[in-house]
Amino acid sequence: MSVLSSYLSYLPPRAAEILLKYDPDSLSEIRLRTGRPMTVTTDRGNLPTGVTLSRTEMTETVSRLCGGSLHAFGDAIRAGYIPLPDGGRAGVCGTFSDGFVTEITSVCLRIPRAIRGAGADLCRLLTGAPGTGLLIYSPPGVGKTTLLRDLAAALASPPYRRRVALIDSRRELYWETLFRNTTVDLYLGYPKAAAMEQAVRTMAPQYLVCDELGNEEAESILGAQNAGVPLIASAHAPSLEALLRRPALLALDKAGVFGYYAGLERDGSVLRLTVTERKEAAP
Amino acid sequence: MIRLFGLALIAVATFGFGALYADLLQKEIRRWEGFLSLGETVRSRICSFRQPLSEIYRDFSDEALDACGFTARLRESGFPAALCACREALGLRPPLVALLSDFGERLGKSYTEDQLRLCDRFLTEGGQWLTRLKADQPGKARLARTVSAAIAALSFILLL
Repeated sequence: MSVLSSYLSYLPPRAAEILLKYDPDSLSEIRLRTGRPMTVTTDRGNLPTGVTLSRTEMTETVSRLCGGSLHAFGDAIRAGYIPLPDGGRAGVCGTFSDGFVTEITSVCLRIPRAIRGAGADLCRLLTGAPGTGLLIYSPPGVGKTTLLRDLAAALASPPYRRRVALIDSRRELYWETLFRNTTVDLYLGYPKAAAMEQAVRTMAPQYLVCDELGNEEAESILGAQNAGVPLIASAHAPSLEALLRRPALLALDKAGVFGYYAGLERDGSVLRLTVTERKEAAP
Repeated sequence: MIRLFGLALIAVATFGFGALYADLLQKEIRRWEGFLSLGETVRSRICSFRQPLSEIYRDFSDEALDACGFTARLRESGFPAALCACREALGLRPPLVALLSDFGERLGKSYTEDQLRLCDRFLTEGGQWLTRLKADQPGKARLARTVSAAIAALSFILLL
């Protein structure tokens, strides 16, 4: 079952029927809203589908996304998403009151792209320089997660077959179909810092992979670095200069956590990757 | 001879009906106990692990509910659909079905605290029903057996 067809099974029938008219390869996102237009995102932008979901339809959709067990997803919904069974997630928002999201009024289903081979060059680069970490940066929505996911899958597949600890705190990275038959160990839903520490202590990974580095993970990353486990991660930044202006990332750079920085740019439909080698070695 | 055989058959059938009715009452109690056990399992799993219903149903088993095919349907298609499909086989009285229906419709539709309240309400009301069923059952069963035996004897005498 493709990602799109599994997504369609969550939607109200009349919405799913409309979406079948679109070219599946052109869709990058489906967005549902209560009382407002359902849109799809393609290369041509955000396109209205002519469907407006009622409150009941939205409630039923959320119930299906939760597998009929809303109680099991309270914390995730509070954090803005519902993890899906085969990997990936639905972004959600709505009305927040007394510590709970009392009504979900928007659901965003991003269709994960598998650009097989996109991470191959980076994979060769990393395996040719053992112990070297990599940070992928770009503005939001360019494809960092796609590249990171592909790179992790490539590292954990033949011919490399490295032990990769995939840390996916917000269920954005893991995708069942891509990681089937790989040597990936999954940390799904763990806080990033705790997962890094646990992975290094108990799973002896050859690479740690995690999405969207924040300030709070810096200490755990330095710990992992001391254990000699290279980190492959991503961060939002329009340029390397802007990236290194962030104190936590600058500290990681000074500690020599990343040997390479890969900047991702989108020029129309073309993705451009620029790899910069860190000049100074860590003391 | 044939006449005598026919009369005996009528008497046995009438008496058997009473025994069957008494057995159905007993089965209703066992099934209701099964539903209360399901309610307790759901409550404890949600309270301790916030487990999704599909996983709770997968692990749940009860002899009386297994026998009428409810648990198999429950695992396959969830509570409301299983209740709908097995309504006849369960042989529960309408107020019990209504209570189950209300419980099943609301399961999994709200956050943990609300689900726990839902389970508590079901277990309280269900427990009261169980007490009533258990109190009524011996009297009703005895009455059914006595009446059916009396009708059997009477019809035998009248038709002889």
